[in-house]
Amino acid sequence: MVSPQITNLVIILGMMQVSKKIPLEDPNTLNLVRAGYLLSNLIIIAVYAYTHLIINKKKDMTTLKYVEQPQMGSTEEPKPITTTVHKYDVDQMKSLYKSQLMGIGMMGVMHLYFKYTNPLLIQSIIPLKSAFEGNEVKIHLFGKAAVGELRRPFKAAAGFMSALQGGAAPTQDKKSIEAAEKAGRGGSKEE
Amino acid sequence: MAAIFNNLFGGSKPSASPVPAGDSDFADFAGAPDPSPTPISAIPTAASFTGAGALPTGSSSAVPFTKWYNVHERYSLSDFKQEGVILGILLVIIAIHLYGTSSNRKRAKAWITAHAPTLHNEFALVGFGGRKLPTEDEIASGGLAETLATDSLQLPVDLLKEKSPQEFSTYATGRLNVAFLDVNLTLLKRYSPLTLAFEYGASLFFDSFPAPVERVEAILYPFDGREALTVPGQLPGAHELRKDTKSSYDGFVWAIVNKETMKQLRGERYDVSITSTKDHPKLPNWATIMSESSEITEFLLTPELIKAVESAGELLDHIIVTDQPIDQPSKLDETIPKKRIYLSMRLPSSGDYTSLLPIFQYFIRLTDTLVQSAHFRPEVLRKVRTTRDDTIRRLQKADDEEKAEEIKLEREKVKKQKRDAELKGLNAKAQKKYLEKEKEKEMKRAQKKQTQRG
Repeated sequence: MVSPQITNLVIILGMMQVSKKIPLEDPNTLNLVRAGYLLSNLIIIAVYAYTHLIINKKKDMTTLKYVEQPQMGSTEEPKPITTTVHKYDVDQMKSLYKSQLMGIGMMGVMHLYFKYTNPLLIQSIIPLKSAFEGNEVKIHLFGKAAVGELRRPFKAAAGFMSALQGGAAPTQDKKSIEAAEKAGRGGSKEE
Repeated sequence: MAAIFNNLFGGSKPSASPVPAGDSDFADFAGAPDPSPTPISAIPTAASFTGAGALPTGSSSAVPFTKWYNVHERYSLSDFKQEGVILGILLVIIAIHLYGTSSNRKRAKAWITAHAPTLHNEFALVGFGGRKLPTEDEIASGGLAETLATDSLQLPVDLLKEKSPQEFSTYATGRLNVAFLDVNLTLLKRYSPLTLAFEYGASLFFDSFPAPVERVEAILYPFDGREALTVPGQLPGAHELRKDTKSSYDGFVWAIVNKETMKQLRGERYDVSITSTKDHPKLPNWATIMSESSEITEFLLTPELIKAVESAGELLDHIIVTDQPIDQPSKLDETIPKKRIYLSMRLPSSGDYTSLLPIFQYFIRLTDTLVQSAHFRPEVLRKVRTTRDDTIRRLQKADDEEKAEEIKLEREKVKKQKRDAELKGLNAKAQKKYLEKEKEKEMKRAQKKQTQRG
């Protein structure tokens, strides 16, 4: 299995060539491409909503504990998180919705304000692909077991950006959880 | 003769009697009707109002100029469309507000109706109406429940106070081991659907906005052996309290928490964040226990409590026994333990509180259990105390450091003052020499430091 990032790159390069061939000046073609973009977003929303429904139906109340490592360079201590599998999944879904809305908003500005048409094509394929590659969708829609890569808490996809930010993966070993749990970090006033 | 006579007096004669003489001009003027100015004058006189001829200037305006009070002839209802729309919206808003406040009141009343008997059974004084001794037939016939059951919208003012259309509170005191009890009901902002919609929307996107829910929060303050401080002087009952002041118990933090809220709770409250979370096989799977020691858990998790928790179901948010502050202490004073017991439950939308009553009752009676037997082995308490001592030590250290810093600053200030004074007293040559000497000294010191480090 090739990693999704490589396939994404291939698709982007391929689509850039393809989009050169498509006559986007033609209003009919343009409308078709727009419709395709909307359709792809509708499919994504539907997939997410269905996954959310399954999560709520399962309602797995198993306790999930992990320690969130602070970002590289920050002086913060590791933060213990105590939650349930259900709540974790719901939070993940929420962030997925958010990122999709952000994508649509960006695309809206690019297309309606700056009149770019080329990204429409790529943006109707890549998000759709990554929606089906998302961890939550894999677990709940495709019924894969939550082990290995899919074990909660998920590791951030190792990529160019995450290497720069250097956020360490959340740890789950017993010792660090116990140490962080009793540290009494709650209730501190935000400054 | 006559002519002469006439000539003689001729000039004077007409002036002597002008009217009878034939001076036609004068006579005409006197007899003529008032000249009507209407046709010429643009300013309408009083006379011109009567006639229809009062349209001197206006052939352009179709509005008939009528008497000032005949407003209805100049305007029709269609001129007030805007006002009508505004009035309509206003009426809708008022109607929604009235509906929202009244339904909130109804819900609050339903709550107090369900809980007042429990409160009255446990406390000598409930609500804000002052102390009233219930007569015996009142107790026998359940008079309280009866007065509450009437269908009027009138709130039982004595029992429940409306702080705002969405917040109601009650208060109870006068019970063994309990100083007082505060209960706050938070309801939805039914009277302002727009705010409600905004809150729902924001809660979808921002974690810092909690979704609006209806909730009852009760805080119980135990006496904790300080009856004499809480009930001072010669108040009725003070004497009895002083006789038996063994209402203290060991301080610890222990909680049963709904798992849905536990992440948020641990972030918001300092006291539960010093505990560790552990599931308990006897509890339903949506609840968990936050405890400082498993022995405390074994002691507090009675079958009765488990039953009450099961009956309340997922409406229960948390029940917390604590002696630590909610906000992380930043000063030494804030680490002084203050014992409280918290209960937070969401309100059922059906308004049926029977399933919530057991846990409420257990919550009030919990102090009795605590006072009776929450005295743990020293091994258990040592663990509990270390956490608190660590915090105190940390704060003490920070405090000391701050003080040391202050002293250091003060010393430096004095030093500088002394140097300035010295420098002032010298003449130019001596000043230069002084400064050079100072520089040399500094350099030497820096060198020394470097060699030391190397």
